[in-house]
Amino acid sequence: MASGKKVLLKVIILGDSGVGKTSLMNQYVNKKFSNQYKATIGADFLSKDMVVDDRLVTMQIWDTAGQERFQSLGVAFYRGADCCVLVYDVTMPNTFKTLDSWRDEFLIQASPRDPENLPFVVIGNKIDLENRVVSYKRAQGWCHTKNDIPYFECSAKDNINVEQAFQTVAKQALLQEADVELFPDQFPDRIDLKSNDNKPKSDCAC
Amino acid sequence: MHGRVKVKTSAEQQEEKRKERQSKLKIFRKVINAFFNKVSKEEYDNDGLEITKQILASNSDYSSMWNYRKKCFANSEKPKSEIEAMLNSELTFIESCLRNNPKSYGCWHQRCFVLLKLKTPDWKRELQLCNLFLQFDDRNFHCWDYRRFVCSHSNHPLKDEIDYTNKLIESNFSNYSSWHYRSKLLPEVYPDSSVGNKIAERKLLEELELVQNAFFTDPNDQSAWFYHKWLLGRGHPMQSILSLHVSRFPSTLTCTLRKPIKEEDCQQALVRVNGTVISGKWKPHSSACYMNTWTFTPHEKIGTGLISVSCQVDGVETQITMEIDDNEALCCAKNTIETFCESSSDAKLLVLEEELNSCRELNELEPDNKWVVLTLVFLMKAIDPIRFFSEMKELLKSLCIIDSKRSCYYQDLHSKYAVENWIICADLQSRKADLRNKGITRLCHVEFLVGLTHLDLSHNKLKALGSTFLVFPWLQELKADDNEITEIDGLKALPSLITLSLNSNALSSVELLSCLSTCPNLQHVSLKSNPVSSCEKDYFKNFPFRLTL
Amino acid sequence: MDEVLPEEFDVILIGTGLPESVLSGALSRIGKNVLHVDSNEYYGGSWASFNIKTFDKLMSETQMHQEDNSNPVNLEALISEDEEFLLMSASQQNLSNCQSYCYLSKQPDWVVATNVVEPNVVAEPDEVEISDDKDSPVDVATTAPTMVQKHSDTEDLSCRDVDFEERNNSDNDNEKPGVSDKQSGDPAKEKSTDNDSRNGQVDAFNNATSEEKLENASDQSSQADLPHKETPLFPFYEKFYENWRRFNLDLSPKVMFSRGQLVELLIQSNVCRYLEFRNVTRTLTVLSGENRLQPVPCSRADVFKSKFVTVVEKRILMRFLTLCANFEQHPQEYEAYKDRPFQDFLQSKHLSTKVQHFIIHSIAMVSEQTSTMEGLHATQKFLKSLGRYGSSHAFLCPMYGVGELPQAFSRLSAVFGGTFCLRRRVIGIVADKTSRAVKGVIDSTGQKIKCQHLVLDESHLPDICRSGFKREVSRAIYVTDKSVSPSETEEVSLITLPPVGNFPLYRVIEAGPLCCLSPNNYYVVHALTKPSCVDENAIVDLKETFHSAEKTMFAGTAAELEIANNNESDKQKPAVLWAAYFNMMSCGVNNDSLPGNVYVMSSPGFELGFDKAMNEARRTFEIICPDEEFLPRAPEPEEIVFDDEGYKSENNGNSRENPNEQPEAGNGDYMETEEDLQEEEEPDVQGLIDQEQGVGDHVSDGNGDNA
Repeated sequence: MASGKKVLLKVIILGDSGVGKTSLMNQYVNKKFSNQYKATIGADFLSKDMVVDDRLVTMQIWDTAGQERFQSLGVAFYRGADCCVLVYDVTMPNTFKTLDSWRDEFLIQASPRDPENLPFVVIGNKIDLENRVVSYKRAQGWCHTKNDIPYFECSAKDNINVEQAFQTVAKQALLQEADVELFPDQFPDRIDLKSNDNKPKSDCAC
Repeated sequence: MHGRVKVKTSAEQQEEKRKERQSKLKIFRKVINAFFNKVSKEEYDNDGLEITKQILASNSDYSSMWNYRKKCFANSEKPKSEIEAMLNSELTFIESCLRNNPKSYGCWHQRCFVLLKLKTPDWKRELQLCNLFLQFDDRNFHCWDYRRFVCSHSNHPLKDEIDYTNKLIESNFSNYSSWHYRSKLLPEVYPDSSVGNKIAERKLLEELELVQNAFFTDPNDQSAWFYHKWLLGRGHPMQSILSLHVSRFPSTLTCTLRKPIKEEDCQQALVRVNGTVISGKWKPHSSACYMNTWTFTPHEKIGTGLISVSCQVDGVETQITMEIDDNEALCCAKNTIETFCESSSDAKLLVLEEELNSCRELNELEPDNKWVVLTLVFLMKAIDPIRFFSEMKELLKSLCIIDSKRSCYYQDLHSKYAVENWIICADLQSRKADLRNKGITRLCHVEFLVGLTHLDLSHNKLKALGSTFLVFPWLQELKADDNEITEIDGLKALPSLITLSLNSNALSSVELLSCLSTCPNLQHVSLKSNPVSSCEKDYFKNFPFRLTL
Repeated sequence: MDEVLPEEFDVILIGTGLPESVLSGALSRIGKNVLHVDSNEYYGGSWASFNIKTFDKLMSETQMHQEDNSNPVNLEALISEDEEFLLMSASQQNLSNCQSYCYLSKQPDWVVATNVVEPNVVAEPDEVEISDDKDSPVDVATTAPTMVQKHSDTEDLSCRDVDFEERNNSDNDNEKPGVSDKQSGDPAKEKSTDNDSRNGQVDAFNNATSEEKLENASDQSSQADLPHKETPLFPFYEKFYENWRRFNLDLSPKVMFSRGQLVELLIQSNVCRYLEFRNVTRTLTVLSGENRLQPVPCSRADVFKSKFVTVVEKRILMRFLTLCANFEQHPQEYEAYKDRPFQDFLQSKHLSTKVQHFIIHSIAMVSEQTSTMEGLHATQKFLKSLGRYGSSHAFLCPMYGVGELPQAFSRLSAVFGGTFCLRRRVIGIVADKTSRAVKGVIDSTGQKIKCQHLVLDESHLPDICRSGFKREVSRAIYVTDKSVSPSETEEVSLITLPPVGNFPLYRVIEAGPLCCLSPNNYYVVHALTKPSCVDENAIVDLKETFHSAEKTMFAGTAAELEIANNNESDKQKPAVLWAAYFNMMSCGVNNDSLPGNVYVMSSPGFELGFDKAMNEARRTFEIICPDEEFLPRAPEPEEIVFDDEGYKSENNGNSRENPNEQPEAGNGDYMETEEDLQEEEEPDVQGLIDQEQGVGDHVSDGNGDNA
């Protein structure tokens, strides 16, 4: 049984419009798939509790909320990400080509402390379709040149490999949190408006 | 058109929750059964540890499970290093339980158990854990207890602990726990090297300033005032012999001590006549376990002539000289202001005077704040209880109005100060006490008055003559006219009492007087102007004394 | 490459400042179809935050006229006869008099080459003498502070600036989709550029930070028994810019009252889940006649531990604050002073001059002449916020800067279907000639987009709707090497420097790594003041404007201090390593020429908090959607249904089914009333009938039913 304190992992999911980012999230967290394409509406982030390497973690997967459509993702979206999932559509070569720039964009905007080691996971989606264009070899090759990014080929529709891909995402993200101090001297200074709201302390003396 | 977000209905959500709860309950039942199975088979193994973990993670108050776990660790036959590892992971587990329930007795006790069991406990880490939990809730007494446990088992410098209370008090001074902890630490870290005061004066003055800041910031906060009172109060008075009485016929020696002692301690006492230890038997003045006054009956009579008698008891000693003609002699210790409060250097007096002035200012600003007034009284008492007495009396009077619920407390406080002041100035050697018109509601410090033969308590506000009066072996005349006395059950077996005057009181029934029949030498009792009706006169016919109604 | 936008929206918003973004979120949230555009490549407009390189660039660019190189749009083809076209001004500049300076010296090449550290050399690379003689001290160069960008002569860029420009340009050439911050270089690439610029010997040190290199250097020199070489006082220029991305510098620094409207809205709408905050941990000020910052006792704990006021002052202050907390209930206390200055009232309460200063300048944050009523309200507002998050704190600030706030509300808008398009300039408004109502806009690609309502930020006003242009706020930003008042733990400070002599009042916010505004060991100090000179054309030396504040807070610039190395004075005070100055402009709105369905959002202004912006957004929302709720709670991700049917049944997620998920009671009056209303919306029909029939209250009636 996992013990110790719960870890929150923030994962962001990037890639061109229509590659199936929301579908992948949805398939992984809600086990649901909708065939009908609609620009992401209502998708914000989804949370999933899981056990990784004997630790209880909550993985938050953040969707682009459609702001990527006109290249209008703000820098705030990238704050504090522990892992970045890059998604392309195996039937659309352009979506593969832009992975490079999405990766760069992430490194620049998220400005991680240690950009060399910030984990990525690449997902080639829609392998259920017959008109595949980008080959496994080509994608795997690209990932290899980028510090051996783990690569998964998935189908959000048929739920192929989705679970495995996100397990890897969680593992990779957890590496970022590995050396969390047990009792930091500065106790929760970051304020979450809802949870830190000072409740009136009961006047009972105990 | 435009897509919209669909949200689950409350019914859907409730259904989800209900299902979740049901499945949880099922698991819970299963695990509990498994646990009892283990216990009945006395199996203390890893399997059992896992089972109990599941329950304790969500319900850390299940103490049987913690006890089971203790047995698992104690009974384990695994190699020591492995047990050490298990215990360390237990600490991690306890911590996660505490995060859910920081006030669980089971968790904290288990933690103590584990730490004592560990070969190399990391006390520093434990202290950090305390910091963390006290940051959550600075009044979590479980954690305070645990903190003291940690400090007592590690060589963590207590001075650091004082600094820690500083930090907590700075962030919130309305916190008894921190102030209290401080009052426990200071005497240890800053003991007084000279006169037996509570803490070193230098520190005391710093503390006075600190706490003054607190009650000026919020005079309605009690914790600061209590701490202030603690600071002004004295440490435990040192043992001393208040009075020594020797009589040749009957041959007795009576010794009254400041602090009561047990019979065993008293039997150690040494009585010398002209330097020679004599044997005899000590008897307490009544049957209580601890007593101030003890009477010694020597096996052989005390001789005639000029003699010097000394008594050494409980680490203190005093001596008395008897002239040839004297049948008895009494020696009373000299009393000063320091008898009833800590000694003060000029520097301390200066600080106290300053504080008195600022408190007076505060009183002007907040005339109705009882804490301010009461503290004025305490300060005056600490500076000079005689000089300020009339002012203290007025302040206490006003407190009875401001805080009428506690008026009896204030009156008793006044009585105490009045008696103390009288004792400081009185000639106890004369064995006569005039305590008339003092507004006394309660007679305290009777141990100082043991030697009296005459006591006049008239024109006060006494309500009863209770058991405190049992201590007067030589009292011949007791006057308590014009009080509000309703009970006199303390006037029992007073061996020397001859005259008793209780005129103008509130004694209402003759049964109340029955105790007087146990006073062997009582001759005159005056009960004028009491509700006791004269028609009950017959009732007194059997008494051996003359009664004036 | 620009994707074509849809042709029609309910509302178009231009500019992504805070009020526009709040409005955008609120409109999308209730189902309005929203297009939100911004000509900038970043979110936030005048509310944005930037890294330090981008900031330098901004300071240099704003004076240059922006060239519009997009193809001219053929308006005639787009505008029909019954329509008119209102041109928007090409330069939407709302910053003026911009300048930024870096006071650090560049690392001389020989430092690494010869392992000798000589910190006093402040020199341009081409002026550096390469000295092989280790024992001879290098002349202390008196090179002036390095101006990174100066507005007047952009030609005269120092070589290092050109260096940046090149890098930036290379990024620009390398067009990538989705890259919004084009000043930012590729981290990996940047590293290689740095390496290339050094000589071969340097490579051995590449893996160490320059600080480590310096340590190495000094170690070795001391081992060799060389004459004592001092370690540099300040980091070198290169070292400083190494962490350029870690700076988040606000154009409009502000703090949030913990019970201010913004906080309530963030909670109520659930937008707070996109943000993190820190407390402002202390309030500082300078008493008249002194030159030293000291803490202002605001909370009970502050008052308790303050060493600067006597115990009696403490009591009087606490009494006064207690009165202010609910002064309405004690009218007799202030009745006589209602129309008199606040200061008179304070005097009547026997507050010492010092305490009066604290209350006026740091707690109420008003002036001596403010009326008593206004002063009381301001004090009360402060006190209400005190203790909500942490017992002695009244203010919060968003981590990563104020620029996060508009982005959070924009995300809400996007999550609920809002379309966002940065780098899209709207060239003008199309209005109906007769009704004078706006019908749509035309963007620089020549696309005409229709809308029912149009929301603009002030800087996007069509020229004919502007009236006047004035300096609203004068700003200075400093990066320092330590806090203005160093303490054990890192603090976030709010500082008021009251007017002295000819110098104005300054409002100052200092924060650092804790708020992710700067890398470790650096602090960001924001200073604001109201321009003294109303004439917009007058040339004002901003450095002069902030002189008094700088003298109080800083020891001097790094360049000055390096020269005056031995000067012991003010060792406590920080050195300014980098500074920027600018004015924020504001223009008036000519309402007569403004179409009715156009709403103009104001610039951030001098206000410390966000209430003005929130009010503006709320009021505008109420005009556009009179009967709708403003920013109702956004559902948690778990509550959202994702199946196909969900989209058919058009539930707008407006209902609040799960009251348990509500923020705790007491979070705001607004929430409570709302809940009350809901209960009243469902009248107990049986109860009403009973009442009509005179059966009595329905409690006993219910009992009857049971029986």
